[in-house]
Amino acid sequence: MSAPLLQVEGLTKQFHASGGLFGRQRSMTAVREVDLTVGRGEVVGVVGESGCGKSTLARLVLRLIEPTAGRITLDGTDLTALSPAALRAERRRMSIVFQDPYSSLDPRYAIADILAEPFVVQSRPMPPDTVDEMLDAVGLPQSTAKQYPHQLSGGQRQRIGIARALALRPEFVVLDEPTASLDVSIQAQIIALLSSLRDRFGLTYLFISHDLGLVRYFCNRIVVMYLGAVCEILPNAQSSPRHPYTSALLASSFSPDPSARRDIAPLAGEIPSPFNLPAGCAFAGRCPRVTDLCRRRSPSLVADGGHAVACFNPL
Amino acid sequence: MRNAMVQAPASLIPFQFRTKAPAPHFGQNGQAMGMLDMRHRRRKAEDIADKLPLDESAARQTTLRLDDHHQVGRIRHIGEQVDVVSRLHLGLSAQTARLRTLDLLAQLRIPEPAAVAEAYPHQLSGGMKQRIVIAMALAGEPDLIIADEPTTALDVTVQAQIIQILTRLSRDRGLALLLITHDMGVVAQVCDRVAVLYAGRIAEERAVDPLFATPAHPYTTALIDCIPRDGMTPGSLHGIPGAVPTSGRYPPGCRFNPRCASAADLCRQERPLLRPLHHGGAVACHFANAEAP
Repeated sequence: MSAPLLQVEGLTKQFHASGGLFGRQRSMTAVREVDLTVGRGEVVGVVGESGCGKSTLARLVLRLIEPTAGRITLDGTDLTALSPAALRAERRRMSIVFQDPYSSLDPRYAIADILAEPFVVQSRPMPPDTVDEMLDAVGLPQSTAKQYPHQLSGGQRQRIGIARALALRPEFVVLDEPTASLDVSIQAQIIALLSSLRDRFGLTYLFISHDLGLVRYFCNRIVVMYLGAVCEILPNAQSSPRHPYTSALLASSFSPDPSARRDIAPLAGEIPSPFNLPAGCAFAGRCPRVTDLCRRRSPSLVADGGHAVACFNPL
Repeated sequence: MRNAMVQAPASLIPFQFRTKAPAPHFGQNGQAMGMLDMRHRRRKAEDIADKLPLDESAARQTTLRLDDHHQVGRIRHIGEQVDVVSRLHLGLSAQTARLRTLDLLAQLRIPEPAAVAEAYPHQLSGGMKQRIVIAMALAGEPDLIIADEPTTALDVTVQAQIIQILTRLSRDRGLALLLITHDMGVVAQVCDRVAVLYAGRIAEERAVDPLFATPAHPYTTALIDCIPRDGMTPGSLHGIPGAVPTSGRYPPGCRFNPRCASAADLCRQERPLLRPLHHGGAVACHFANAEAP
């Protein structure tokens, strides 16, 4: 792995929910003590099911929301310690592509204005031809600049979202489920575009997804989350899972090959409510390898080479 | 378009359903699907629902339609919503209907059926609600279940549970299952036969094995190549250029022609008709090889 560009240590985010007029306030830990390193030029995938904290993590690493605890370092600069002005300057180096290309583009802005907005926010002059160059980079005709978001298809909008994220030539881009709301034929286009842009601009990606198949195709390293905590880090897409949850995730995704058809042995139960976390390992209630120890104590993430797993009885 | 297909099955004449047991409601020996029968049944159900002080929407969806978990009405107990189906379709009394409901919930591995029957939908998780919708679909003892993207909103581990239930039901009860989905992985795991739909028309209709092994339509080939698989080399995923045309703006000729790598003049002028393949199935492409295995 090359020199780390992004380093995250002990990152934790708690949310509080009001319990109603007379109810007790409840709190949940959306992200719990996450340590993560992303090397320059790497594509690191974060997978997990809904409610596992992957989108919260995406927003935390850019400090779009404030962490409850922990440190985020981008190329040696501690983002958590920056003043708002200094943070804004640092934001030039990082950006995000959101999941929903419908709600993440302002419907009243023409495409040219959407692509100019990052320069306005940063109070920087926009080099001439930037809009045309960005449209060209994401494979859209220059005539798109005059159009409005509602005139574009979902795939085209997501290309605009990507162009906007790259307008300031950042080094680090968070991709928060960038293809989740697109058709499969468009999803493949966008993934192909993202990898060509990565080569062209030397980008580093943190790729958030619930689709393990896609993550295994696109990412160098894979971080698996369950209920706010990292349960396994796979050093590459081919490494076989050691955490029972990762293995269950793999077994739950069906291969597009009828000859690979098999008896399904789904995980029992569902993800527990994050407001009511069980003691011990969060996965204990659904785990086929559970022991008494798992119900009493929570396993910590132990690295063996590049492969880290948080499990008392790994595979 | 897939959803429109469920809502207007009458245009689906060449597509036939076969149940493993004789299926009086859908025509004997796999004739064209008895759409009129279904409409009639539905109307009948609505008539009864009008006369009963029951949640009408619940009565409607029981007509063999399985949809996502939002189909569960909000203000009735789960139990009532499942009961109404067997009361309407099988004419059961309230008491027998409830016993049957509890039995169905137990068969779908819902923990504590009695407690769940007394619960409101907002108290249940997405996966649990989807099981309730399946219970509703089963309560009328249908021969056919139309499952419209039944797992799309669910997490993968829960999706696997629901897919297991659906396949087990179709195997054990001889139910015909029409599964509407965008997920080729689910298709490969569950289905016997597949109709690939593009812009409102069937592009190809085959048994599942040859469809994946030797797709006849360029769209099917491209669609299968869009899905990341294990061991795929990086950079081999390209997608299909262009976008699906919106309805009303279909190109003349073959609707796939602007995105097709092998489109010729003929494709831009003339609509390819669905024609049979020698080894079973059918394809709507001017240049498909009818002799393909």
